[in-house]
Amino acid sequence: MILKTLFKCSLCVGMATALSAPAFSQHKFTINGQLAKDIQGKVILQYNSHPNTYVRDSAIVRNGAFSLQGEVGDPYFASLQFSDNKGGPKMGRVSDYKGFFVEGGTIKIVSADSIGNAAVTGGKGQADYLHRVALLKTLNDQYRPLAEQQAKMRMERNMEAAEALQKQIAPILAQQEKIDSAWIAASPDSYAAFLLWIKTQRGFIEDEGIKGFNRYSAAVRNTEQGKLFAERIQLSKKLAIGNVAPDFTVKDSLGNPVTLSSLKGKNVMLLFWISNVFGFDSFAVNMRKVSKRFKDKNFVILGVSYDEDSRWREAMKATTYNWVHTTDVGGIGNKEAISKTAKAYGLSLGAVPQGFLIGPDGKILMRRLALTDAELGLELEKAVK
Amino acid sequence: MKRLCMPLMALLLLAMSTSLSAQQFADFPDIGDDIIPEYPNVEWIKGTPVKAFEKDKIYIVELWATWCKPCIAAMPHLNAMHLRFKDKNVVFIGQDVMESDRSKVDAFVKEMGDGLSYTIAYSGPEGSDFDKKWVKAAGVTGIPQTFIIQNNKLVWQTHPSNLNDEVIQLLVDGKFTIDAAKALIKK
Repeated sequence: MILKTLFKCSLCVGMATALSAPAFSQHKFTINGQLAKDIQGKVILQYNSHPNTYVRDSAIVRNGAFSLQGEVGDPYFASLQFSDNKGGPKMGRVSDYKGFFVEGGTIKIVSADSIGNAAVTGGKGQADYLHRVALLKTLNDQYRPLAEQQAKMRMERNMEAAEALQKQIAPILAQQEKIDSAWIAASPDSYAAFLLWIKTQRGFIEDEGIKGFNRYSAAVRNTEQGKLFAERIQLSKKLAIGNVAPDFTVKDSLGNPVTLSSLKGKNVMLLFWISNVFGFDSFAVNMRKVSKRFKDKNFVILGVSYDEDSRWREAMKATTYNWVHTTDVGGIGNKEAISKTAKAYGLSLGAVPQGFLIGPDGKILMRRLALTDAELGLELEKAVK
Repeated sequence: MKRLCMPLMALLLLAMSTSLSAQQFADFPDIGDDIIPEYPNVEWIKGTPVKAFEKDKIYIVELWATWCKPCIAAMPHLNAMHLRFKDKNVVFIGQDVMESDRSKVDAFVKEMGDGLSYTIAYSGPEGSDFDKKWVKAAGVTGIPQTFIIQNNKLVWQTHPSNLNDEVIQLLVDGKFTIDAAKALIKK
């Protein structure tokens, strides 16, 4: 189901990096660039200096030469874009840019013409990245013209042709995945490989993910991203099935405090939700079905809304039986948890809606409930006590 | 992109504004619940119209659209099952949804010919009878999606790839449960 998949993705992409940022180390870098001597304009550098710190910097390009300085915690993938100062990027105009790892030390960017064709040398992160690029070169050479052709077909609304091209593209992508996973498996000391591996780890980290993480060298595990991943493992363990669900207090529609532990003795479907998400309709219909299925049972839905006040009051009306409506508005950010409740459950904007089933003894029975799945009610029925 | 985007945009707008009032339509039955026997008002393109579900028949209602590639990909599979079970009180309905150009649907059905030999109906755009009573009421935001009805009850709501001859045989033999069907799919 096309759209359902999208919705599910929104559940898993943003498992929050819930805990507060530890004090990170800083590494100074200098970028020295030399393009063709007749190039004048400016370069714009964009990167994250730390997990949630975005940096944008720029420098003048005079006779092809430019220089930039800055600080990063760990190596981060950066993009350097060239602008000839003749207005911003226009639709359809391919921008001239280069991606590379920005990290402590000196980074050299050299090209006989534009930035897109530049060779970038720097630290270990960049060297590892270039190694991967080399591994994938043959495939990339096959992929690029096909992808360009496909994009053109889509622009021309020729969906059949685009679909036919997909038949050629899919095996290339499958091959790329193979090469990547072999590279990841063989590179326990590579931070660049680690960053690629993290992308495959979504939602709660299960045993396999913990094993995967422990393969990495201490140096990799002690990076900022490594520490954040370790926190995700801790959160996944804390919220494991069989553990007592962390207690929290939120406010109901009248402003009275509601505590999770006050519902002890009942099965609780704990639902962190927001109505302003794609696929909300099927979510809402499914929740009504669940509430109807359990209306005469020892079962309550504890809804914790992250909607703005007026919106969640409106959305509340759409719900039926045995709901306890509460709000923790403002408790989540785009990528991070803000409130105590959100921190305890590792919530962020990308991680809601998210559901847990908690037994009468307060222990977690199910997590990551498939909230839009038509069979959710049946699955809950099997698990409730 | 265009074809996919039309329903996408509609849904996006819905999610932002009117979705909260989705309950103005009665909710679609949950799995195991009785279904309203009357089939919504649709335009029948091919095959015998189904005015109401009959208790002694099994209905496989498959939601599709001409812009939905996975739906079209599932058609040969559905058609083959239809041919094998049409004399065993199993009725396949290919219910076109989420599009508003009937001529496009007609042309598609014509082109498919015998490759699409089960009953086909066109429901019309958003706000149509079927859209209100099934699509919106069941919270369907993505297709393909298949509803299986037996004994005037909704017994399963699933993806067409979860259906095969053995699963349909379970229905015919009166032995269907979702768990039994899933065990067959896993094999």
